[in-house]
Amino acid sequence: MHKLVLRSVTKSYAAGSAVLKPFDLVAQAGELVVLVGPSGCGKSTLLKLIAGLEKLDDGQILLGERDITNVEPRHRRIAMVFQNYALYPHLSVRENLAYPLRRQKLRAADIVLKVSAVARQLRLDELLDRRPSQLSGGQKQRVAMGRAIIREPDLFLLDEPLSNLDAALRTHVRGEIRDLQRRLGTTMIYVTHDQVEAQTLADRLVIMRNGEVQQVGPPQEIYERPANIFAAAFLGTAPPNFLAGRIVDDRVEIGQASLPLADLPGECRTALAGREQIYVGLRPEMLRPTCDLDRDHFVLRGKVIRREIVGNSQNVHFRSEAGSADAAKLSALAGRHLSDELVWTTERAGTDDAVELGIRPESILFFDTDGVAIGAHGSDAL
Amino acid sequence: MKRPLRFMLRLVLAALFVAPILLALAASFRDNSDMYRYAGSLSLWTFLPAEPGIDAYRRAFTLPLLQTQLFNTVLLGFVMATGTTVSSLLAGYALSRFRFRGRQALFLLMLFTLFIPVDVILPPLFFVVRDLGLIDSFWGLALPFIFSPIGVYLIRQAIEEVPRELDHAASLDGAGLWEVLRTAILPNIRGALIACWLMHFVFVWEWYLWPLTAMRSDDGQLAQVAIASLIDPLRSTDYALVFAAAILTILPAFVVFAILQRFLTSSQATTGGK
Repeated sequence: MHKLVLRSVTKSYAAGSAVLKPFDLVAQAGELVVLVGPSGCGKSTLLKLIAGLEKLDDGQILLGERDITNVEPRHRRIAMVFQNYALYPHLSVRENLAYPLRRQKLRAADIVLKVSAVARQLRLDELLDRRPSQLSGGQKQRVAMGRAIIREPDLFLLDEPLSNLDAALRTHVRGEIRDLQRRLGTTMIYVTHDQVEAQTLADRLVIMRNGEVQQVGPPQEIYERPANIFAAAFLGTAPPNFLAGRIVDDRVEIGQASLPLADLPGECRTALAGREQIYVGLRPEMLRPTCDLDRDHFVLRGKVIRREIVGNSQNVHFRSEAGSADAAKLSALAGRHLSDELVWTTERAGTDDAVELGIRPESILFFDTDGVAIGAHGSDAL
Repeated sequence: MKRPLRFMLRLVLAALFVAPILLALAASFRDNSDMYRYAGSLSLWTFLPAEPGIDAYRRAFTLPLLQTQLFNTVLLGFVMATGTTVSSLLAGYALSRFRFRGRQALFLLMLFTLFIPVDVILPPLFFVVRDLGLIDSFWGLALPFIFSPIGVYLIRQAIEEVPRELDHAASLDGAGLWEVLRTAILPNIRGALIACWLMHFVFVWEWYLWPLTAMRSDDGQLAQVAIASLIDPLRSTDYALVFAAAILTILPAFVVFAILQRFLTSSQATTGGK
């Protein structure tokens, strides 16, 4: 078990355009850390820096007790699984698995033993004599995993390993990777742009945008207390409904609705006091019809535009007089397109065309006008 | 285009290329006097032997140096083919995979040398090789041309087709630069390597001016150059002999090409990702 430490790692390709701004990260021994963010956020570059496939401009990388900043990739004891698997097309599955061992000049008998052990572990026994071109996507993925685990590396790097699989297989393989990592106890850095994959796998998530860390923490914690609008919008099936609000006389006013500050949790209350303009984020799945709520709450009224049925739940799109202020600015802060429609995710089958929804005050997310969370920063220490 | 038309076009093109060789082959089985006899009026016998015989070949084998000279050509073929393939592989690998300042410029500069005909650089080349003391030697013939821009281009393009992830995977799996080349790239560009080798092997048969300039001893001369000296403008030339010797000369190239041409499929490297 080895701990990975990145200290102010920076990288830029052309002068002036930083791909990674000074980046710090600690992955504890045996931890599964998922780097997640939209494409171009620098997560793959970071992985290449850790692997040694790219040179970093500045900073330091430690793996266990070793400083590997300037160590050649082949001496780093890091195994990587690539998005396109990068299996050697001219070699059989058996030789693909044996490849890292042959580079280590292991004895032939030992190689045979290890290959068959890994093949058994990953259900590749039947496939050993096939070429990669004769394998299905899922099988290639398993071979790529096998080639990674066979030499017992200090660290696993996985670069979007599931993106070439179909949805059903993805869920299955995701579970397998998780189990394998638990069983081996090897530290793993996993890169994906899929927030579901990220949340289901990660011990800790690192949310990245434009080469900068937005938030680090366990998935649940980030979901509940996102550090900014970007992190809030990134996690969750649909982004929160963002509304513009104002603090007036100890009340939060959002459109015509308002809420006394006294109803909010203490830390929020103090942080909000003295501010003027704010944004609030209401997660679609946290909204409830007012008749279900026992207390007086923040209430949102609206007219339903359309409904989407997803399995047993339903996304109800509606427009409210509270409306969303300045969709363009919010979209920029969230890094994705936000319309002025609001969404309510519910498991109820029949819904009226006019909705009246409330939310528990402690479930409301507050952000300042720069998109930074107010009061409830979920980010843990690096 | 319709099928028959396309077929006809191919036939015509093939005939255009093969005809001279067939004529030479036919002529090599004739008697020399036979050739002069029918040259005046156009008939079938202008082209085909009236009384085929192998006398010309018998005479070709008695030429004192032809076998040595043919050996020179074949040996040079192997050396040039192997040498250019190795040098092209190394240069192609560097130009495709290493990042260094001026890489693109170097590549273009190298390609630019393709546009300079050998005839132009012949005099300076001669002086350089002479100053190296390599005139009249086998290596004097070979060395100046053992680096081939076409070969580098061919192999660099083939390496470009090999996904970089393969290099990355190999280097993380414990391979150094040479091992990456040997175990991850080389097996996936076999087609290009064979094409490069074969091309440069056959190229040697087209050499004329350079060996004529740089090789003055008959022992070391290449067969194709030596054959040309059989044509004597002052006396009647034994054309049957010339053609027989020419046919014998192209035979090795023909055999090697026939053996290797089935490997000339393009290299198909995928990462197993698709």
